[in-house]
Amino acid sequence: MREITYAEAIREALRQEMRKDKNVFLIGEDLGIYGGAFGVTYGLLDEFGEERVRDTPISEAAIAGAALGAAITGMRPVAEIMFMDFTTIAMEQIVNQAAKIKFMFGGKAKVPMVVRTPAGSGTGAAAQHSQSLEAWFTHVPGLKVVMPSTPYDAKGLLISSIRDNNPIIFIEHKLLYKTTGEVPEEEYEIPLGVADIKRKGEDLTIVATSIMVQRAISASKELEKDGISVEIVDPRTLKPYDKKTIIESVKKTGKVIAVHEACKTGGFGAEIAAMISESEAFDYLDAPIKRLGGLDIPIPYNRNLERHAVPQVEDIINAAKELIYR
Amino acid sequence: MYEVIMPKLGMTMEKGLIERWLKKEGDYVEKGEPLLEVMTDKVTIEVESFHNGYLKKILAKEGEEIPVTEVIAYIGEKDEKISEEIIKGMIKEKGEEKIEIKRREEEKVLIEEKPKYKVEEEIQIEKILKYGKEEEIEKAKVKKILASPLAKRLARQMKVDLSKVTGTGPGGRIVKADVLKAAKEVKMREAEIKEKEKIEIEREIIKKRITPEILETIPLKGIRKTIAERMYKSISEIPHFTLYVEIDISNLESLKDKLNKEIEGKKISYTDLIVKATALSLEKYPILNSTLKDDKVIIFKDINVGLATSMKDGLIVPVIFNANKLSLEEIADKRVDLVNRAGENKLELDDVSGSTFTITNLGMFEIDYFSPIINFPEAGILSVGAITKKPIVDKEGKITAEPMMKLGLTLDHRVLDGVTGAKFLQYLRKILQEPNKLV
Repeated sequence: MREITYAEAIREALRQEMRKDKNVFLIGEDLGIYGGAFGVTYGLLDEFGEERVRDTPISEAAIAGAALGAAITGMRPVAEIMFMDFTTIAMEQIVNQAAKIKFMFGGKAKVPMVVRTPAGSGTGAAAQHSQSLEAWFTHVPGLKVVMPSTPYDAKGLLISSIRDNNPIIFIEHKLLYKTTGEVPEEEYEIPLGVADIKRKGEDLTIVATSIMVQRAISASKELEKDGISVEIVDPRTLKPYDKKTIIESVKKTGKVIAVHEACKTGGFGAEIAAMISESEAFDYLDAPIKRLGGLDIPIPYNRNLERHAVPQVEDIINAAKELIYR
Repeated sequence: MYEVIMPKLGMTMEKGLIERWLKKEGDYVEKGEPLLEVMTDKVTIEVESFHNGYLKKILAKEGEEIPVTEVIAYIGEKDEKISEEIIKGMIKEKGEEKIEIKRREEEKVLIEEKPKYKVEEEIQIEKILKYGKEEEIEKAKVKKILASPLAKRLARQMKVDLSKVTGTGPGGRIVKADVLKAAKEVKMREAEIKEKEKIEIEREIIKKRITPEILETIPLKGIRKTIAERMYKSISEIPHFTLYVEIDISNLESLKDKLNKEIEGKKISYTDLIVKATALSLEKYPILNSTLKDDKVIIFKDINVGLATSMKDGLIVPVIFNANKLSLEEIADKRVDLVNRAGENKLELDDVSGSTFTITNLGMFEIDYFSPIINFPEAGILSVGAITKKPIVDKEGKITAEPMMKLGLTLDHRVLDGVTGAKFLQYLRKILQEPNKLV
């Protein structure tokens, strides 16, 4: 099969959906002529014109608000917030408005909007351009939170997100944009709320999100040399998320690490750990549930420090060996 | 109606465990008589009844632990009815018991349905950790079992006692592998036990095969026991030896026939003839008419001949006293009387005591020779075998068929030797071959 990058996969999903449905349009900063801060929307202006690929002033509140208004009136906007850090500016529109409208209007109004936004560190962009804030959004009823880790998932999940009638926070990762993978040329959907087992294993389950899926795969290859067989579960959607697949995997292996880039305290790993300990899988645990997350500090500008602020492959290997204890 | 209460048997006693009721409901019990056994944490004590009467009702069963002063039974008159209040009390208790049983059943279901995360012991330990004294806390800390949820679940399923499992996980935590290992060991041990049991069963089968099946067990008692003891004493104390002879009794036969023709109504038997001949021989060789006692051979003047006589349950030896001085007729009379009374089990102690030499006869059963056991503490016994006609070469070298009697003389070798026995037999033979001496 053809291999394309994560960024290309997203672009292809946007293009195909825009060709298919004239109500789909893009709105954000530097999408058009510049092609997006990470080049994701490059070339779309030429095909679809300024009406459907709308560059905006630097106001995330306005982007989110305009997208919300359009969605309520029947459009299917795909907004881009250039850095996830800036969703803070759009929070009122996303959390207080977009997430609530459907419920406050008794289901008469719907909000089919997608907010695409790149998260994560690793580019030397410092504390205000490197955060992973997915846990905030999973805490808001009415929002769906999607976090793809591969080009294949990115395309299928974005298509499903555009077609969904709820406000969706679609979290991309800056370091994943240039990663490649097999992606079908035709349109396809990946249902929201369904996890994917990225690797089958017996001794240990790693529940990883976004960039951490790739790092967990690298770690598992190293661990395999020591005879440790790792199963990697990628929830893909954080809200709603696929509890059953995680529980089944933990019941099989008896040991689990939840790993994400976001700060450990209050991170999504806490939700996974709590859910496991409340579930039938508790009685299958042969070791405490382990969480790996970013340090509770703002991401440093210094590249060495930045690297140490979030879990790396060696951190996952060490945590796995600690759990296996043999 | 009296109450029986759980007694306070010691200053610190709060509860007592009913080990055993020594009386049943309906039994009569006297004041001061032991009624039940109560086990305290130190000792088991018999509790006596404080009243005379019938044990009407037992309220506390064996094995129950009852607080002191609580009523455990009622004692009353034989026909006294248990009062309604008591019955009510009992019904109430029964009702509560039912509720208690139901509660326990529900608990059981709960435990079986849902995994119980904390075993009793752990809850207890946690209580101590929270509220206990300092030294108790230290102890409890050591006792708390550290095991993963999976290890605990597997232990429950596989019935592995976690307190006996060594944890190899972090901080000594018992993990899955430890439980599996322990379960495997238990299984191996069980298999070993099974194997042992199998061998044991096989052994039992073989044992059964080589052990003769019992038809009947007869306790050794009465006359059999006496016979057994005396025979054993004789054979184990006396070194026996036996000499055998075969005697032509054609003359004896003629004499017997002649005598029996002369005498009306009476019958002289070979036994009578042998008794007389033996008595005369003993007169000649008194050393055979003796007993060995404490390194001394005591030779008797009286020649009292015992006749081994069979009875229903055994053997008895009635005595013909001073047989050497009696006529054949007298001997026959005595013999008939003794044998008859033996058959009717009417012999007295005086009839069977005091023999100095015994004769035993199995000739009528076609026995040729046998070696009897000396009638302890005598020095000898004469065994009489069957009389059969045999070819005999006489002095002229002619062969004739003559009646031959087989005799065996069994003697105490401590008292005398073979030569003396042989001489005795020579003399006896002479008498029996020329029996006119007997008349």
